[in-house]
This record gives sequence, C-alpha cells and structure tokens, in this order.
Amino acid sequence: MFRPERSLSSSPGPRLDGAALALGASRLPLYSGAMHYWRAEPSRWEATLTELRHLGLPLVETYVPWDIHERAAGEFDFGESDPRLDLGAFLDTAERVGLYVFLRPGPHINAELTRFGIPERVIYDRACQAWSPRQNPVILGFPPQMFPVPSYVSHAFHEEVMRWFAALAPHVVPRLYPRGPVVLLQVDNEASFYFRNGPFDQDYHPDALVAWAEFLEEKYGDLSRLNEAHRRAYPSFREAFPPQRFLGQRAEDLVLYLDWAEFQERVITHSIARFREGMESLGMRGVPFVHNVPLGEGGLPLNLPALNEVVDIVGLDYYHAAREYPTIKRRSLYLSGSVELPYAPEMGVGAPPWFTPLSTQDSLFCALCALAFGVRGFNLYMAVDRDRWYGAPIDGRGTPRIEAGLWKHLLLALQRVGFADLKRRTPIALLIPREYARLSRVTHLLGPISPSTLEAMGGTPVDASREDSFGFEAPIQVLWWHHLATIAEALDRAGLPYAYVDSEAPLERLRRFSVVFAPTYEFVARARQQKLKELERLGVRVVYGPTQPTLDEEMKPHPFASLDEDSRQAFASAEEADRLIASLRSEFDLHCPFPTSPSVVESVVHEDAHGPRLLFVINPSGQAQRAKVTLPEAMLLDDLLHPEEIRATREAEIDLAPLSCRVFRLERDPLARHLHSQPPSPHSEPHRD
Amino acid sequence: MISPELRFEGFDARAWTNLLSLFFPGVVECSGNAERGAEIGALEGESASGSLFVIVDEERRVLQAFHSSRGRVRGLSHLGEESLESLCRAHASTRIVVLREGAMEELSERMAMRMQRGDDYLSQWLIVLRSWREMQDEGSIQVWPRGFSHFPLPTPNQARVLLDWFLPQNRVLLAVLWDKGTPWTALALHRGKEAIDLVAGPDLISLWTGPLGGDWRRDYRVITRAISRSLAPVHLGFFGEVSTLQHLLQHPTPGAWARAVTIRDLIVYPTPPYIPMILGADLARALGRSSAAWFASRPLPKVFSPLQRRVSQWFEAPSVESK
Repeated sequence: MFRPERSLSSSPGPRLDGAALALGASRLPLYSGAMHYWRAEPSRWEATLTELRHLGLPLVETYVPWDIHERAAGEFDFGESDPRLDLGAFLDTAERVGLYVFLRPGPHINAELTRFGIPERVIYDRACQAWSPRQNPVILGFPPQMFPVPSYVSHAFHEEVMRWFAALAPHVVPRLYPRGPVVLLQVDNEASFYFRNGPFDQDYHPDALVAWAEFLEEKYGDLSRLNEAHRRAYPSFREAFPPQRFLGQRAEDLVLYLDWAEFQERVITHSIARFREGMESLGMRGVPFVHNVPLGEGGLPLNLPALNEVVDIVGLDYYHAAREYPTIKRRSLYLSGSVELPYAPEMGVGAPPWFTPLSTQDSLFCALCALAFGVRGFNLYMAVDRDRWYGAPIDGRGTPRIEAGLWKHLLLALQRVGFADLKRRTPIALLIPREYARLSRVTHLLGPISPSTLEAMGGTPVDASREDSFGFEAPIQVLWWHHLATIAEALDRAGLPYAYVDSEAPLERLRRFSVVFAPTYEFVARARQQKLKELERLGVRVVYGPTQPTLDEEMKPHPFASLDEDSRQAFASAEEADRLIASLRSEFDLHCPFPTSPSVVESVVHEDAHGPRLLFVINPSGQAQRAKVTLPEAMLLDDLLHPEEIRATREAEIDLAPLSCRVFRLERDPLARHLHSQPPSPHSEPHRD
Repeated sequence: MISPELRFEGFDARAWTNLLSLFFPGVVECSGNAERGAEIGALEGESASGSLFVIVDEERRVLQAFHSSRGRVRGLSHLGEESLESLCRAHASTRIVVLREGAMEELSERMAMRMQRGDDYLSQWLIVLRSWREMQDEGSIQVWPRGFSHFPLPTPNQARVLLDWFLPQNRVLLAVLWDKGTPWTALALHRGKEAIDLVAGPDLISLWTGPLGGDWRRDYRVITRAISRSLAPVHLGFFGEVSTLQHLLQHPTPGAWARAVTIRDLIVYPTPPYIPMILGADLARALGRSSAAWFASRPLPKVFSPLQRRVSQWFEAPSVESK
C-alpha cells in the first residue's frame, strides 16, 4: 500500500522531501521496522518480511554485522557457507515482498552483540583501541563481556573499517535504489565514544594527539595566539598536550577545557564524515545517509547541527518508560527544533534484557509523545524479535504477537492523515548554548559515569558538574540548564508551544521563530553573539540573560552591547518567568492553540495549510484524568486509535487513563454548529494506549 | 557466570516485565514522574528513598552533591566528622556514596590494567569489585550502608565451584508461573560448559512443550520432560501460581516456603540436594519460632526474662514484653 511505482527512467536516487523520501514521483513516509536477517532462519525471511509489511511498514531496517560476516581476518562469508549470512538474498527477498530497505552496516552496530559487532582481532589490536589518559585501553562494561572500545581517530581502525566496507560493497551497490531496494544507509551507530564519553575518558591515542594538535592549529593559526588562549607556553602545536583531568580555577583556565570539549565533538563529526566518504568511494552512494544519537544527548560530545552537515538525517533513539515523559518531551522538542527532519532511527519497541524494563504501553506511549512533540518518522526497533531482545510485535519465527495490532493501527492512522506532511507551529525557541553545555561536560565529576549516562538514567547532564564559579557570579555550568528549565515550565503553564534549538543550528532555522530565549552569563561564544545580533536584525525578539556578557569564549573582553538591553531578562522565580511570558504573549499575539485543563494534561496540535488537523492529548500523570479541551470552533474529534468520535461545539471532554496519550483527527463539524451544548462523552471507560 | 555467547530469546514484553516484577517490583511498576531539578536542602520528615552522591576534594570540601531522583542538593559545603548514616538520614536517602574527586577515573584505570583478553563477565566483575574494595580501603570511596562489603570476594574459581553446585554443566534451571491457570511467565536457564549460555522465555519453552493440558499441577511434568528432551536435563524446576510466589517473596515467614512446597502450592521438581536442605532450614526456623513463642509465653521467674527475650529475638518470635 505504501509502495510507490518505481520510475527508473528519471530517478537519480532517493532524496528527502520534507519528512518523506522522494522516489521519482512518489513519496515514501519514513516508517520502518527492524529485523536482523542473520538471527532468523532464511526459510522464514519471506514470511516474516511479509508480516512486517502487513504491519504497515514500507521499509525494513537491518544492521550488517561485521564480526559475524568476518569468519577470519580478511575472510568474509556473505552466504557462501552460512545461508543466514546471505545479505544479498535477504535484500532481494525484501524487494520481492515489496519493502524498501534501510541498511546500517556499522562499523559499530551494538545490536546487543558481544563487542558491538566488531571483530575481536580488531578490538584487541592496540593500534585500533582508544587510549585512556594513562594509556590503558578504555573498557566498556556491557554484558555479556566487557571489552576495550575502538578509537574514532585511529588510522589503523579506519583502515580496518575500509576493508570491511570493501568486502560489503559488492553485495550492497547493485541493490541501491533504483536498481535495488536500498534507499537509506546509516553511518556507524550511536557515535558517542562507545558510551565511554566522560570528559577525560579518552582519546589519548597517538593519532588523536596529532588530530588535537591539528585542531588547535586550525583554530588558532599561530602558536602565540594559542599560548595566550590556553595560558601556556607550548613550544609547538605538537607539544600542546590535551588535558587529562580538570584543574581549572579561574575563568581564564577554562579555555583549554572548552577546546578539549569542542575537539571531542569534532572527532565524532569528522569520523562519521570519514566513514561516509569511505562508503561513497566504494560505490555505496546516491541515497540519503543517516546517523542516530543515543539517549542522554544533552551530555554527549556531539554537535547535532554539525553532524547534520555530514549526513542527511540525524535522529535520536528512544527507549523510555512512560514515567520518563518529561525526558521524551524535552528530547523531541530538541530534535524538532535543531534539525530539518526530526527522525527516530530507533523507536524502541521492547528492549535488551539488561535495559530498563519497557512494557508495550511504555513503547507506544513513548512513540506517541515523540510524534506529538515533533518527530516525523521512525524505525521500530525491533519489529521482529531476536536474540538478546524482548517485546517486538512480531516474534522470532515471524508470527505477529497480539500487540502487533496496536502498531498496525497507529501506522495506518499516520498514513491516513498524512502525518509526515503536518507541522507543529512553534513560535518560541529555547536556545541550548553549546559553550555552556561544553563547560558542563568538562566540569563533570564522575568520570566514566558520564553526563549522558546520568541523563539517560533519569538525571540531568549537569547533575555532577562541579559547583565552582571560576570567578563568575555563579556556576554557569549548572545554572544554564535550570534557567532554561524555568522558562520551559513557564511556557508549559501558559500552554505556548516551543522547541529547543541547538545554538549551532543555522541561522535559517532560528529565524523562523518569533521569540528566541538565549541564556547568557558572563561569557558567550562570539559566533553565538553574532548569531543573536543577526536574529535581532531580522526582527526576531531575542530574550537573553540573566547576565550581561562581557567576555568571549577565550575569556577576552568582548562587548555585547548591540543587543537591545531591554531584552535582557533576569528572573529568579517561577512567578517572574510567568510575568515575562505573559508580556511576550500579548506583544507577539502568542496563544495556546487548544487550551486544556486540568493543567497536568497537555495538548499538542499539528496542522497543515488548511488549519489544525491532529490533536494529541497527553496525560503524563499516574492518575486517570478527564480533560477539557477548548476548541476554536465546532469540531469532530475522531480518535485515531480507538473507534470513537467526539462531537463538540466549544469544549470537548476527553477521558484519559494514567500515563496515556490519545490522538484525534480534527474536522470542522457543520452538524455540531446546530448543537447548543456539548453532548455527554459517549464513553465511560478511560482509554489507555 | 554468563557466557560471551549468551542467547536470550522467547520473551514478549509482558512475560519479561512480569518476571522482573517479581524481583524488582519498583522498577517495573513505578508510575508518575519524579520531580527533578528541585534544589533541596535537608528534608526532615520525608520518607527515605534513592541515593545521595557527594563528590569531595582532598580536604573533603563538597564539589557537588546530588540525589538520584531529586537532583541537585544545596547546602552541603564540607563533610566534617558527621557519620554517613546521619547525612543519609538528613537528606532522606536510603544510601549515600561519597567519592573523592577522580575516584571513578582511578577505578576505570585499575580495571583496564587488570583485565585480560579472554576474561569472562564474572571474572571481569570480580576485578571491578576488587578495585572498588581497594579504593574503599584507601578512603577514596565511602558507602553507607556497607551492605555486603564486609564479605570476602570469591575468586573466579570459587564462584565457578559454587555455580557447579547450584547448576551443573549441561543442566537447566526452570521456572514456570501461572496466573489463575493462565501462563504468566516462564524462564529456562541453561548452563553450558563454563557459564549460563541460554535464557529462554515462554515463546521458546512453548515451542518445546507444545500445547499443554491447562492444569499446571499436571503440566509441570510435561514441561520438564519436554525441556529435558529438547534442551538438557532439568536440574531444578519451580512451578506454581504467581500469587503464591509473590506472597512468599513478600512475606517470607519462617516455614512458609516449606509449607507451600508440602501442600503443593509450589511444586519444586526435580529437587537437587540443596533444596531439601534449604526447606529443612526453613522448617527448623518455623519450629524454633513456635518453640520460642511458647517459651516466651511461659510464666517463669523474672530471672529467666533475659533468656526468654534473647530466644525470642533469635527466632523473631513475639517477645516477653509484647506479650
């Protein structure tokens, strides 16, 4: 049903068109499901893929495991010995069944494989390993066996990866669209230094030290400038050794550490770019490239906008229990604000056994909330069950489980309403200041229990940042997060839609907002200052503060004068934040699209050119709620997931089970115009998704 | 304990969360959202929950303190002579971990230096625990309550001997639970040559057993035979209603387990030698408790009161005073 006609003549390859994939004249919504071919019997591939298609998924996603295919150093099996490893046959089967393919060949794939799918000989090659400050391997504690993680900078590792890609390419290249079904390729997986991303965990590999020197040379140009910035007397760039622990005491000391944090982000971005170039050089090109970011992105050495320049889609992975609603919301708002195509390369359906236990309700609630707050496409991971996983809607033998019906219903509904083409209007942006996020990382005190680990475990990435103020008025590395949280809470109370935007997002993204909140303290990166000024010049209201900046990121005096002083806001309490929001509300005619009560319930509206089309009503509390939603006019609310319609003139009453989300298709209701009052809700039992 | 080639298969979300809910009910069932980000000081009167983490420098100046579910903790600037226990109580926490700055990095380096290629997961964890203990002894890590930290750590060989005794090579540990006659969850653990190499769930188990009769007190033999035929001989099997097991786990009164097994509310089959020993100990505890209660209730001269009290405490029986 999703499969567009192939138009081999004119199509140069798939390209992104909004939140869909344009294949010739057709558009493919980005809904896929994961199946691991090497973990299933080839005799069951076709039946399983057929079930996956019946679920309403137009694409199947699979990793390609390097370690499994490499039987001995340099010797690969793509089905010659073991039919389970016949990648080509699997791709051909998918095509025969009518599925497109999203292929993820690593090198890192995790997939709960021992050593994350990288051959043991590579993992234990010292030249390929990441190095700790004391030149030890960097051990990752994942079950069922801890292992030393590879280095993203090691040339030896990259050469090994190229040999893997070279072995893989003959099986993939002939099957790239339009000749075959492969329409998306992913580069690596959850590139976050293999979850060992404490600020000084790694990488002190000799190749990394060279890259660090090159980074400094590129950034500072001449040595004297570097020495002035770092308050050091390096004899040469090559002798500018990276910091091994945080020793800063004053503001001037911070520059070295901020550079280290920036360098780590660049390592990931450059490495992903290098992997992509390697794939392209071997013919694996002409389709969009994807990269996925794991949980805890707020504390990761990752720069989403920079990554989005080296791959076409950067998405976030979602594995959340329903009780983690605030995190699901914040992450989705960040993704939708910071990248062009908000996509979830792994929307968890089930989980590995050593992860937080997730029920089917958790997975569905998480997916619905992510969609509510801006995610436009997703890959159900896993759609087909397999070793070291539980909870997929299709079991390991290809039989749909009872919960498959829920996902099928959702997928069909999303398709029916054209969800990929809807928009959530967000006039307000909350800027995530990258220089402060870097400061939070380098002042983190728990080493390998990194900021992102804390965030993924339900904390915040600044929880373990030191409280020192370094001569500033207060600890910026902690306060910026709480400052943004205060604004977000005030906006939530006012019911005003907003998004988080990475401060390194291009100006083009930021200028779409009417109001931009930009936390500022004593120092602000020059590039961000410039961007804020430019935004103000373009008519965007920039609300900065609480502090008037006087320094740049090198802690050199730098006037911040040209921004409107009236726009600086220092609010210490929730009440002051509420007053600020109220004044902006009237000034910019901001309004809550569908006011909802009680306040614990949230509503989110998605619209097209003709107006509101979809309404999400979310109950994140642990108690059942009867929500009242004020409508702009008489409307028919058609529940997408349950057979129920609600007609209302001005106010709809909606029953919500604890931790649930309901989705309604909105239609103007001419019939209801003649009603004087809203009829009683036809249902008595609360629904739970 | 677990093989690098471990397989885990055959669970849907319900079967897996059901299984975990028996042992970690809080993790599976907790609902609602923890209020985070609140800057808290001491919380007098609040019930204790979560862990308090405090990171200090060499002079025990507090660099950061945060609570695992309530976030940042204000008002702690220096750790003086106060006990960790009192600090823990003052911040309404069940546990406190005090780390000297750099302790986690040090732990990580020690682990990396000691681990060898080929170490299994058990050996690796023992290295982590040994390194942790060392650092506790050096004072760079402090934890309250100390829990099992007084117990000596086994060597990998000792741990393997223990595993051999509990679940020998090529044997299966099986547990199947029903909820009012409907299968609720199931688990089969297979011990390979060195370690556990298969964790099988209900989907896989039902493949081996085929359709069942519907009466679990009869079906357990069918299941045991099917597993023995398809996988390996069952060394120990638990079968019963989930409500029975939940009650036993939540209220392990002396003799309750022995009683449940005796009246077949819980079927243990086959029964390796250590099971009668454990049930016997449970029974002895129950007998001791009854005897102690009887002894405590005897009107004896006052001179026996301390003895009556001691016996009551020993067997957790009602004391003389409560009588």
